[in-house]
Amino acid sequence: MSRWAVLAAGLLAFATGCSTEHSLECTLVSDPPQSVLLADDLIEIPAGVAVAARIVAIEDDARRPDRVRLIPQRVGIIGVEEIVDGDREFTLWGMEPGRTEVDVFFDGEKVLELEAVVTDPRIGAP
Amino acid sequence: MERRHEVWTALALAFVAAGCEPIEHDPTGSVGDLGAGRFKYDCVATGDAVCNATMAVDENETALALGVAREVPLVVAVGGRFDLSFSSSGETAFVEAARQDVVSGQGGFIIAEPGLHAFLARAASGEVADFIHVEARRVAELEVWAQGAVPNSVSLAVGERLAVAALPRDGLGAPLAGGGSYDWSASTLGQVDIEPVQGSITSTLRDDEVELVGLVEGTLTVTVTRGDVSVEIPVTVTPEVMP
Repeated sequence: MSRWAVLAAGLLAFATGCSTEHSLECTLVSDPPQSVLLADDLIEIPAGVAVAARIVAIEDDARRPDRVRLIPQRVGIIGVEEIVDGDREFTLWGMEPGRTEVDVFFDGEKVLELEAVVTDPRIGAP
Repeated sequence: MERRHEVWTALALAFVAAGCEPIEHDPTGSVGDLGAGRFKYDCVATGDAVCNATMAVDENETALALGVAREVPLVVAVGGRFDLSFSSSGETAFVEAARQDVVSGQGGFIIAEPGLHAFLARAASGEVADFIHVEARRVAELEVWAQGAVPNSVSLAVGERLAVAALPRDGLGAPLAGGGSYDWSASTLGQVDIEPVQGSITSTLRDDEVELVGLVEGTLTVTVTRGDVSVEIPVTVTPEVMP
């Protein structure tokens, strides 16, 4: 292995070690009446449906106590609000069919974006 | 020994006091999906089968679908007007529809599209206290009820009053909640009067319930219409019954 290859590998390892990985741990806490997809980087929900979820801040694979805030970039597609007296619990609801990114803040700092897709419940409906 | 007696007395008094505390228990309405409080249904327009004034419809038959004691009905009619409120222990919250593009919020709610519709109870801070889903379906058929049954025809004597009610159902046969406007008409003028329900100040001739009054012997047809759905019922007016 050449010296350059060793140097490049070392730099890559250094860079990886220094970057902070942010993500969310999302868990449904209510039973949605229609199919809702809640992944760590994607929310897919039919318009008119509401669901409650516990959303926990993750940094470098570890849970953090940070206050999470979720703010949709486009208004009127998806609603996200904290639940009264909830322990990091949020209500998410589909307002109108469409797509938007949702900005994710940990303690006031924007750390990542989620994709939100609100589906039209009439499509595929009997 | 005396000290022990005092302790037992204090414990007994505390037990009695705890038992006497008023327990907040409101059995009306439906518990929200989060279990934080209760959503309550209100009739805000005439023609809502949930709030009938007469016994024309057998409420035992419709109770499961339309609810009792301000429970949120399983299904409401597309275009039907109704209102929801929310109460939890000491907290106030206003109710809004998740889909404001198809649910009007003026003077109660009117859902313009069939499907599931979440309603959110939101605190003044904007946080969500609870939510509940209501399904909206189109009116597919009307039934005419009289005296707790769905007769093929009705009969009344000259001078007699008979309460009749129209009940909207969806395509699967489920009764539908939500106020709406009805048109009642008779095929022959002057044979029966169609009047608002007596003693009910909310009742009008656009209501789902009316009273037929026999005027002249003979047969006729009474038609009731809600939107583009109608039903006819044959009516026979018999001679006046002498006391």
